[in-house]
Amino acid sequence: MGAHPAPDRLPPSLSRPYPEQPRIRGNEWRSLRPPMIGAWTPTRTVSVVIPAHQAAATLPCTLAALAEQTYPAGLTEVIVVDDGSDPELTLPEVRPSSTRLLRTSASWGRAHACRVGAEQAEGEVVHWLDADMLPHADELEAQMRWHHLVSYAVVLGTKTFVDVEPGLPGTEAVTRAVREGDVAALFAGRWTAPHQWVDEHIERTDGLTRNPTASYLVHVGASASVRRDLYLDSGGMDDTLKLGEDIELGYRLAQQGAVFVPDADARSWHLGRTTLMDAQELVNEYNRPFVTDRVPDLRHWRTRGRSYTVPWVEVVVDATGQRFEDVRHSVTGCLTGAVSDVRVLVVGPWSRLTDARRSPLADPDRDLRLVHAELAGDPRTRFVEEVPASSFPATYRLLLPAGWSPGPDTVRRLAREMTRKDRGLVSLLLPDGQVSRLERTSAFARAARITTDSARLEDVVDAVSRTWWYDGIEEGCTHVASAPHPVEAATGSATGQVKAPQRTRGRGASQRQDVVQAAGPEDPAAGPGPRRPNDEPPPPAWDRLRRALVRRPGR
Amino acid sequence: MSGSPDQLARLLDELDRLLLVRGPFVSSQAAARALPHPNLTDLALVGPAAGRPAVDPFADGGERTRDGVVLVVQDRVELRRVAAACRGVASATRLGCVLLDAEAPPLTAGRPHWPPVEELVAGASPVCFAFVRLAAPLDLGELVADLARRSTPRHLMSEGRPVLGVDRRAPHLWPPGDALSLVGSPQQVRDVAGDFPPEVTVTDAPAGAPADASAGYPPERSTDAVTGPGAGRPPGRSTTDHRVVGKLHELVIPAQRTWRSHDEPVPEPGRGLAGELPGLAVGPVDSAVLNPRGFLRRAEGPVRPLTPVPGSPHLCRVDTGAGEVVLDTRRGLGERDIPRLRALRGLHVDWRGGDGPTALCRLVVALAMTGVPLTGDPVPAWGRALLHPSLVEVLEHPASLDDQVLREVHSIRLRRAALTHHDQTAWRLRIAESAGAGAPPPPRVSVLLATRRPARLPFALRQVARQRGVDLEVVVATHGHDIDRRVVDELRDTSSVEVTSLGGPEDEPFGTLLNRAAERAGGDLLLKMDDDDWYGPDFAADLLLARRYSGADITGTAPEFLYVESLDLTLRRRDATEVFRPVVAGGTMLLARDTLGAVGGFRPMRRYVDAGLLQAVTAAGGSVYRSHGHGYLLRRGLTGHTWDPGLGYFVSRSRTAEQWRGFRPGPLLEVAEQDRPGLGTQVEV
Repeated sequence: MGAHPAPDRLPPSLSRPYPEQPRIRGNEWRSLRPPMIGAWTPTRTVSVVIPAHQAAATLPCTLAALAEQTYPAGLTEVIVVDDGSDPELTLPEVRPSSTRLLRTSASWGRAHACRVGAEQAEGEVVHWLDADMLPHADELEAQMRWHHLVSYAVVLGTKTFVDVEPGLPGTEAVTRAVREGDVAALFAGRWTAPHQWVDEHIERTDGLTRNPTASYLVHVGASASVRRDLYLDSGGMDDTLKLGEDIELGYRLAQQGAVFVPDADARSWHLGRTTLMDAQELVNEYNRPFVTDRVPDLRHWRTRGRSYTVPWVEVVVDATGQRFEDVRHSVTGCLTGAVSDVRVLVVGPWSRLTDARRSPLADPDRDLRLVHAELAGDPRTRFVEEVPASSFPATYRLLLPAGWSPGPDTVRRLAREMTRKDRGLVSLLLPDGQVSRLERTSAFARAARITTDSARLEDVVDAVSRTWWYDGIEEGCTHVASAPHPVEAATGSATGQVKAPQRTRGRGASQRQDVVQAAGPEDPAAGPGPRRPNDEPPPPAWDRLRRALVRRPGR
Repeated sequence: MSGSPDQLARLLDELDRLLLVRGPFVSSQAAARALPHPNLTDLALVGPAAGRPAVDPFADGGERTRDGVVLVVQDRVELRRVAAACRGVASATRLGCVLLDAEAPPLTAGRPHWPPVEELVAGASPVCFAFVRLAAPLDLGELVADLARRSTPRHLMSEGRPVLGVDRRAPHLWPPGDALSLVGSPQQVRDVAGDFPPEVTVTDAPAGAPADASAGYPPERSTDAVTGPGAGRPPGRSTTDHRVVGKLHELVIPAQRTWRSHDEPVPEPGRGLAGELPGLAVGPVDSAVLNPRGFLRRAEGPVRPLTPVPGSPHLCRVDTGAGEVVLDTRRGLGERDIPRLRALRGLHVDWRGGDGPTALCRLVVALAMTGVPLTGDPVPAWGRALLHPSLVEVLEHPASLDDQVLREVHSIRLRRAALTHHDQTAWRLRIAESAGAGAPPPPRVSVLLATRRPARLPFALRQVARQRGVDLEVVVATHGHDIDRRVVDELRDTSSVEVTSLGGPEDEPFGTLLNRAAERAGGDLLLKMDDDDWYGPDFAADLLLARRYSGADITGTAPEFLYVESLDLTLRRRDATEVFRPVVAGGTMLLARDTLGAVGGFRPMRRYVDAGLLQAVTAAGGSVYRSHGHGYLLRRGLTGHTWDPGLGYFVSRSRTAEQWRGFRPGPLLEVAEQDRPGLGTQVEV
């Protein structure tokens, strides 16, 4: 590296706040109106991060193409991260002037290389590009258009595979072809193929708009870009993952409110054939435990009754000043419901509970102490002193007033409906005037990116997703006063039968009383018995979708 | 009455001879197919030989008790249309009526002045029919008029005045649901010697009338050449003196025009036609059958086109996705066509096809009246001449049919324009105006407005004052407080609505107070409105229309749209609308003052007086119709409601169809800025 001149650095002060952010509903990225390529003036800086392992042959092509980008060189830096190549990589002569070369040492793998590169990046936007990719001249420009319009975009490029067994093109040929906009001529007569499952998925979902809460499934990082602050907020690449890291990052970006923009104009060539199907299956099999543990949204991969590192739903119950029986009813209901990958945060002044001598029965903190004693042994509960701002990376957060409990299937049913209908907030109106809220993390995160006015936050949630009200009793909620404690009821299980919402025609209190009493009997299937899928069987389209988890071919 | 396929065959077997009377839109083949009989005489109600059988089939003077007379029509639309034309055609002891393509059999219960009924059979298979055997012969017209009358809930079948005389050969002008007017030959309708002549005679202009030969229509097909009673007379109006009715008005409407083929360029008529008259050529379209009842909010598939059928110039077709619907523009829209078109998201009209401009416009009017969401190419000049401008405006208005609410709003605007200006009541009114004959004034509506909250009154009175297209007065009943005169004065200053007010003590039952208010009302119709709900400016007019087409004793709307104040939430409930249902919102009940009197008024209860009235009218055999809910927004506040099932009831999954965050009134409510919650009225609660 010493042989090369010091790379140009990005101008330090180009980063500036975004103006009022557009309120994109679901994944309706088409509501944005990007400028035509070549007909606008870019102002934002970008860091192209290239993880490279044993890529000495292809990296010169990648850098030669990057040197010919229409996006202003003064706004671009390139960071090549040598992920333990042997021999060590060196930078070729033909490359953007701002190219830097880093080497990993602490760990290894693509995720780690990306993480190191992003840590060193100074651009407002991070653009991932693999070391065997050959971008078109306007690839960066196409991707960067979106980041000028919205702060929470993840732009996904389009790639074509090409057979390189006949030989790689020389640097000069690449430079000329990219400059003249005729890269295809480099590979005339060779085998080429689209990135088939990604393209098909994008087409089937009408450009990722049709199933907005699952758009992240096509986050395959080989040519994608994201604002650096959004990336950092998501926690960045998980470098304990050696495969499947991009889909997992995609999930966390989605939970940070990202909109996924598939841009057919951001084109690259992938230098090499796709791997064979059996290898993909092997990769898939390998990925599954890692991804399942971290991506709670993949319901059909999780097993009912189990818990995982990232819960699907995080419940918040405020125990401050509440009766023990009330808190117990709420928490027990959540821990025994159909959703087992749940975490319950019990909020209270726990630091007050010291071991100072006291009269146990006259203790002013008696209820608090009993709550702690009751729940401390359950690994899915946490004791916190304050309500955290977000339940990220859990997909949902349930705010539950003490004394009230969701029915055995209430949370599962409502959360599934919110996913399906892209609702960001469902409020359950309870007869005593209190409200229990089920919030989708991604919708609230996007809203928080759009407005800092907390009073208007829910308006923005409504604009980017939807808000909805339901009758808590009809949805299966019970109050401690009307539901016997499961132990006292001697059923051996608090899990009631999975009930559909009550569709009663009558009105008034007597009707609601029936609903309350209807929840109760034990559901033998919900116990620690046979392992079975957490939800319904996967939809037929799942076979293709799950290939989203397959590592990008060629590596 | 009951019926089965065998019964219709048995009834025919029992007849020695059958006189088969065909409606204007039934072919002799179709009629004979439905009613096979060896000794059958066929008689058309329209055509050169119409009116009376050339040879009286029953003239041999033999035993006549086994002779039968049966009317065959397509459906209730045609049944109601021939009510006057059937008068005096033939009498028999065995009478029947067959509907070839109807939803339900026609029904009768006999009438007090008829000969005793000895047998009564009705059925829906293989076709809808009703048969009656009487102790002595009865005119077919009597039976048909009764069947027509009973096809709607209205007790009296009358279109009011003027009484018309219409050419038997122009069935599209026969007034539907009218057994009083005269349908006859040119000589009959202009018979000034009789004691009960029509007040206005209505005829088609003849083919090749000199006045408008240059109007640009292509020549008519020879089969369409009608030598009407106006032969030799140009379109226009004239008046002659009459010893009984004073003036006998005569209207000659430009005749139905045709285009020779769909390839011909569409002509640009309208020039040289006399004023109002072209619009009258569309004729009366029967809103008693062709109306929004049964409108479906849920639509599927794309907007479908209305297309000509190649080779059959009078036919148009619609591919609904669930099957093809073929519409004969000579006959017009039929009863059974409506449900087949209900699931359409929309229907696009490109103004091609049909048996001529008038026939096509008549079909478009009927479709609009039923609420089929229509979109269209720009209306051609001949369409502008025939259709009311307000309908043209809605037809050309770009409509969003993808959104359920906006689709229904468009449908409401269409039906409102078509019903207001083209149904039989509107047509008769325009006939009267064009001819210079007198017509009865529109009904006056007295709004009953009771309030416990003085602060609410200005808001409530603004909701009344903004009503348009209705002759309105308001009776304010203040409950437990005196009325603020300034509020009344302000209303007098800013609107033409007359105000009457009365007060009642706090402990007076609400029902009693309302009865006292009703006694003070001067209108024929009473409309009960509430003090805290929002009303669109066409709310009362739309209810009057619904009353007109449904014939119900009480018309109202469901509280389909709600604003829940404490949640700042607007929502739409799943309540069925455009249906007969015994419950409507208390603040939307429109009924005749006589109806209220017939059930003894409001019950003197403290609460639930609305439900009490609905129960009483239903129990008395009355009917309650729910119109659309887009002109009414119920406010659910924190307090002040007599009925409180808890807010959960209002956001219930099973009852809520749609929710919107914030105050989001629909487009037809046209809520004024000062009436929005959080401003003015809200803080006064």
